[in-house]
Amino acid sequence: MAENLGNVLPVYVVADESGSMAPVVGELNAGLAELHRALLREPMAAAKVRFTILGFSVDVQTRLSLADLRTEAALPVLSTRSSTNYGAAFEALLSQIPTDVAALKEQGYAVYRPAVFFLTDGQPTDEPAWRDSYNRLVDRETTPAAPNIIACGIGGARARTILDVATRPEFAFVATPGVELGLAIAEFSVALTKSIVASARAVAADKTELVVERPSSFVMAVDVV
Amino acid sequence: MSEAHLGTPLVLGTPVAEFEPRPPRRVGGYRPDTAVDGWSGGTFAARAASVRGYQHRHDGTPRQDDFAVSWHEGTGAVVAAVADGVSSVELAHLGATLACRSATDQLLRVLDAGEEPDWPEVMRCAGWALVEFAAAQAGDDDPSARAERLLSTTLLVALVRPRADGSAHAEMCRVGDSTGWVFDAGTWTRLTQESPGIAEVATVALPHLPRDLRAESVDLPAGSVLLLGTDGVGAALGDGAGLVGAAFAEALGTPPPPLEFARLLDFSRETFDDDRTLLGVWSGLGR
Repeated sequence: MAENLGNVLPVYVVADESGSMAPVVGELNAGLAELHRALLREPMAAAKVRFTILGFSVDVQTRLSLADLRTEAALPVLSTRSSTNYGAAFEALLSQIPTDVAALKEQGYAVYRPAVFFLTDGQPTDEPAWRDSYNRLVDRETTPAAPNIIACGIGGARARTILDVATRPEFAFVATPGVELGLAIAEFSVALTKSIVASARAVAADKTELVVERPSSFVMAVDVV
Repeated sequence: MSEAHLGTPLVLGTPVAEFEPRPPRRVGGYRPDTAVDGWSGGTFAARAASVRGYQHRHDGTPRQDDFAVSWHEGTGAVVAAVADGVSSVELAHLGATLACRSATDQLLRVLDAGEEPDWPEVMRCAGWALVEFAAAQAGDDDPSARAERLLSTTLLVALVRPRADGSAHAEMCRVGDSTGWVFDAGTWTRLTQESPGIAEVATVALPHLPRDLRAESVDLPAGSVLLLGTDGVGAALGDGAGLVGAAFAEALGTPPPPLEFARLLDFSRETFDDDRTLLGVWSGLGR
């Protein structure tokens, strides 16, 4: 590597644009606008996030791609179309995420594990076909840049399905569309960017040992407080 | 709006957003935003600084990095350590300080005794310092587990010994993701390689020790500088190519005044907002 131009976190909002979203799509758009405002209040986090919005139905439409939200006047508007094809969404991410990560790295950025916010109100209409795409997306062997997926179920979404989509149980939410959902996504994104400087402990129990016995040469001579 | 400023930072590329730092939450005692040290001993000059990252200044979080550096008069050696407390633990900043000071104290005792360091033992002692400190904190878990829960920290320790010709020899041992560099005659050599691919956040940290812990060894030509840095520096400096490497190269050919060293380290560069600690040992001076 030559120079690290910056530390970036790609964030993908993948929103259900199926017909059943019609009653809530207005609130969802209000939520995106609030997300935008909330992220701008966190200048350090906003500088690191590259924001993509994908609307999925029978196919996937890119509403925004790797945007720096500080330079966007407003976020694009989601619409409603036809069915709820999860497979189309995960296939789009499978091709988009590695391409985006490679492009950002090529530009000289250090890229942190992407985050996907998956927003849906309904059961997939392509059960169980979507699971194959999903499994390839989240498998770090197949997809080295496999994202963390935060799943937000809206309205009629079943909890079981939302849990299946989230990559960790604590990443599964049942949400009310609107301002609160936007704030929740903003908060989550900010927390993720902060985790970049958080130097978490690696869980590698097979490669490390915990110091549990006093070493023979130990002398406590430090006074820190 | 207040006109109070800590001073104008050195800007490299696009600056971090401007704001007035918030006071750190007072947890586990007083913690200054910045620590600076500098002196010359024998044929060595040392400079060290630890600065709170812009994100922590923005959030009101204490600086979780620290360093310790001492001269051993009997052997003319320098002992040095940098540490990065793991943010997710409550007393990360104290863990970093304890680890640095206990490791350098331990090395000084080894030198006093005329012995060679047993590096895994040095690291075990630093880890145990966390355990002993943790044992005095509230909690009903095992002291080692409590140390992990409250005080986890990375640690990079170096022992730099002079040679008669003005060159020097360094041994270094590390737990976690801090990095060493040698800057010599305008050329950077990064002593640890980073893995390609997705940038990782997680690191090994005391009181855990890698099972394959070993010291690394490096020769330091007269006039060169050995630099130890936490990942907040490593992410920005990389292998020395680029703006940060150029700015450091321009300033670090000879030991700068300590406060200038700190100001250099505190550069403003967008998305580089982690705590930063940098410690330099120049060899073959005053000959």
